[in-house]
Amino acid sequence: MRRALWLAVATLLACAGSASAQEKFKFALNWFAVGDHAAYWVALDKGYYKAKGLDVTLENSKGSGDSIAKVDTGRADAGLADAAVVIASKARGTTIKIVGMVFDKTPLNIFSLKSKPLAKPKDLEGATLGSPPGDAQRQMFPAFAKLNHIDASKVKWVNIEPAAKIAALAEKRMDGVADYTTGLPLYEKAAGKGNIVMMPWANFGFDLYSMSIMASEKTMKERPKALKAFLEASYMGWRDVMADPKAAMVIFKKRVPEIDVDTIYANMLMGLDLMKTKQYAEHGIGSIDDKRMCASVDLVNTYMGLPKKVDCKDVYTKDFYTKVDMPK
Amino acid sequence: MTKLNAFGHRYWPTIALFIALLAAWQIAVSFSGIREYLLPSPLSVWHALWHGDVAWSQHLWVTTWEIVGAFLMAAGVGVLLGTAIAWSPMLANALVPFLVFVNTLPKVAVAPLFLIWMGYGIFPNMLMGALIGFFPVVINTAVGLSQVEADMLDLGRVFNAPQWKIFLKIRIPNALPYILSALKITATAAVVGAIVGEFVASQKGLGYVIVTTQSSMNTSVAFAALIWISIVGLVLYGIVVLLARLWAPWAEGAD
Repeated sequence: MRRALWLAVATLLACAGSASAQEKFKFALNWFAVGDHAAYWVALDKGYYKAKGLDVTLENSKGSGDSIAKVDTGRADAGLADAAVVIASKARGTTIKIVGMVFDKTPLNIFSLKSKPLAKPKDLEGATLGSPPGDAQRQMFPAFAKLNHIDASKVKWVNIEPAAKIAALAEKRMDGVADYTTGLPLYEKAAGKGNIVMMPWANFGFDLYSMSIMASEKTMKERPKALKAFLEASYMGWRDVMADPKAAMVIFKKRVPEIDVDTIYANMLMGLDLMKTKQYAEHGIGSIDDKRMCASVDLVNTYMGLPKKVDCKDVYTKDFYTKVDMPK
Repeated sequence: MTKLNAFGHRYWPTIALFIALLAAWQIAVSFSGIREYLLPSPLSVWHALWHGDVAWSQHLWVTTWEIVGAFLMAAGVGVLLGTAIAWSPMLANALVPFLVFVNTLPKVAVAPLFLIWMGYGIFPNMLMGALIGFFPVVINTAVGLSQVEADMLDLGRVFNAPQWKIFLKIRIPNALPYILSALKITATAAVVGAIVGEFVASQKGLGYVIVTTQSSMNTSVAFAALIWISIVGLVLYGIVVLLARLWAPWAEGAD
């Protein structure tokens, strides 16, 4: 009888405890639904966040600049953003830090049409390329040009808004468009399968950290446990996506009904290719390599015309990272 | 009273308000510790206007051309359509619903389509501005041409004036204040349209500057570009007001 009573009290306490321990945590995704967001929906759906006491909300944004501003001003606790944009924002006074990586290999790339292919860096001379001004390709182009001995001044850049990228290329309004390699399925949908040519910068000696998870100073100082828990649960979501992409897609579609399953699935698989690397296999999904991070910071410092130099140590921290192994 | 005195007498409340707002802005920024990239101080914007390394004259030239072209197109097409509507009830029935439909289309959604159909550059942006600004001109032209005092029309009949003469001597002068009033709205709309076009795709222009500097969080330069845009809009508006004073002085009430 007494045992039953103790059990009841314990259960009651546990329930009360977990109810009050469900902290709210807002995560700002970098864009509308794309393949590499699936992991977080999977972690949410499978209760990984809940098991760690987090009540997570996933929110769309209008690009890395937007997600950075949200996190920096406290409208979100953590978010996704391109590492180059994070580094540049440090020079403008943000106090965010990168706490984990998403893509390990760089997805930077230039798409062109088969009718006028831009397959080698030299092809870019004399071409007109479209890109939103904030995109990493646009900012980093001088570095890429230098590395591949092409005359950057012979390449014409046109500002276009992100939503107009695919149509602009498909309708031949420009020769090439700068976009992540993972976007291939979306471009093929518009221009026809087999009509798109890629120029992945990773194939031409360029290395730069790209999509990453960042958090604000406030989150890191005031809610370190929550941040650590969030990261671990998120990488567990990534692990599940890698182990069974199809199942992950089902969850993604369930949570975000407006996505086009076929296109986003192909998009997601290409993203996974950028993560099945030696670094992640050895040190865990999303692990940051110090040397490469500082090399990325150097590139940004040199080529992005910032008002002041950014120190590598200020940009990232491994304090909140927990190793989650890649599935075999 | 000298001209300067008269000017000061008339506009001192505006100037005082302007200065007060600037002061409040500077104080807010200095004491709230708000980040530079969210709200720059008036001083940093001033600095960006005169010392920044933006080729202002080049961008100003492009955007001004787009705005002027948009304005002239909107005015021309607007007056033509308005006249057609006032002239023939059949045309009115055919055209008005269609024009209302075009006017209600969100231009931000249409802009990417312009990029696909016409590419990027000065002309598509002119067209965008014209598209936003033509409707008030159409309506006001039609109203101005048809809503004439019955006495005036009787006067024309008394003199056995032919239709075209009535149109020229009575209807058009009657419509002028209406048209000029609409053109004030068109001046603003032309600015909006040109910038919307530049946001979607551009290589030069003040909208281009805003998009580029916003993405690198260089907000003070973006603000400076906004100031230039307002100046262009104000100048255009001022020109319309002057024209109104010249061509339809009898209708100038409070302005």
